Amino acid sequence: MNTGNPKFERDFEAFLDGGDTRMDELYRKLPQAEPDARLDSAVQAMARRAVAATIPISAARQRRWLPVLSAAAVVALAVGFAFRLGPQLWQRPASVPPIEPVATPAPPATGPTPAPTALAKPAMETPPPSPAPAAKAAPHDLQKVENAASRSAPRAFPAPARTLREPTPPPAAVEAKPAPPAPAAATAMRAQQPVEMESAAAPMQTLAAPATADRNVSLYPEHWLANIRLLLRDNQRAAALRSLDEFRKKYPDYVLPDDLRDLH
Amino acid sequence: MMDAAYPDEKLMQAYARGDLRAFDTLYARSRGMLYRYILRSVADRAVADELFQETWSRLIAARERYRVEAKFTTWLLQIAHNLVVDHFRRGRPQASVEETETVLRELDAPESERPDHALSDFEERRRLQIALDALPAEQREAFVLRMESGLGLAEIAQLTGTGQETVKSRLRYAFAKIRERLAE
Repeated sequence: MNTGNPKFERDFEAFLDGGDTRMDELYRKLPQAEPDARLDSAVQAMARRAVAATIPISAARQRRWLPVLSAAAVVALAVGFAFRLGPQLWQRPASVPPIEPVATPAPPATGPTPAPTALAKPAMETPPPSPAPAAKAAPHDLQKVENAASRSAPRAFPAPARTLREPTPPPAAVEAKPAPPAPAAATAMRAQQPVEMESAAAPMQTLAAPATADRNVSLYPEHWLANIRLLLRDNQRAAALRSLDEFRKKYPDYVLPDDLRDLH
Repeated sequence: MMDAAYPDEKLMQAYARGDLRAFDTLYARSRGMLYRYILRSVADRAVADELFQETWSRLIAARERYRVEAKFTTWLLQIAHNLVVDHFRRGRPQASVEETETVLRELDAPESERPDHALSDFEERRRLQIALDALPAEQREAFVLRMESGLGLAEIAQLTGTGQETVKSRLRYAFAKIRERLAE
């Protein structure tokens, strides 16, 4: 719609731009209707109710989730501790035995030398006859974990090679040593140099003893198999086969590695 | 009461987070403008009351979905506009000019406006009111939005869901008819 009236067009443009003061003044003179107090109260009450209804819902949600979150946090913490402390607990019973052999005189060099062996192979040894209470409980737990590990979660535990390469001699064992004789000193050095330990002849000879194979029962399957390999490497075939038979009895479902599968 | 310089949009966000003082400030700022827009659209005080309350109810319900990108006044008026449109769609009869005039006369007038010395002003206002009521709803709405809220063409177009040229055309017709009525 264009009136063709220049004055009208100018006034209309002024109206659009907010410059029509006369129209604006007149409009403002119209009764400035407003909601009454009752309506104001109703709306404000509505706003308050809405906020009040929201807050308890949020709080209730938080309360509902709190136990779940707490439980999850506890589980996560426990799993974290288990992963972190598991290897240490695992090795503790095995590393305790060195205390006694070191304190006792070493047997003659002609026979098997249990004391150096025990010190040299802390991670492979069985628990001592009367370890500390924690150490007593450990083998039982160890067995459970071992079985579970071999069945379902092998990767949840440290790999055998790593365990062998990172022996952690217990401080007690080191501190308990009296003026160490030569074999004990050598053992301590081996403990600090695990690679050398694996190639040491004396410990291997000890592992070759018939009783040692039985002690492997309490080890990780991987550790046990590592010991069997060591026996083979040291030409202790008979002992290795005995140990492997024991292994098969204990872990009938375990898939043996290629190098041990056909060993009879 | 919050700072008057605090933008409506921030107040709305604050209310969405549970700040009731923000709502009170926002309400105080907008109540008159909104109410007049609705009343002049439906020309019935009872209906205006109902739609006014419903507008705020919907705003409150949608508070958590509000985004600051939307100008608060436009959003509020858009809710009201939709309700007004729904109201007319439901087929409720629109108030006649006479009814509207009666309603408006019932509204409180400033004390200074005594009939003896404000007769001329009163006559002008009456004519303006009659002219407004005689406008088609769409033209009246555009005019009221322009005068009451100071909205521009683009905002009115967005609010009413029409093009800017359409809005401009409606305003032109409304402006022309009101001037004509005032000049009688």
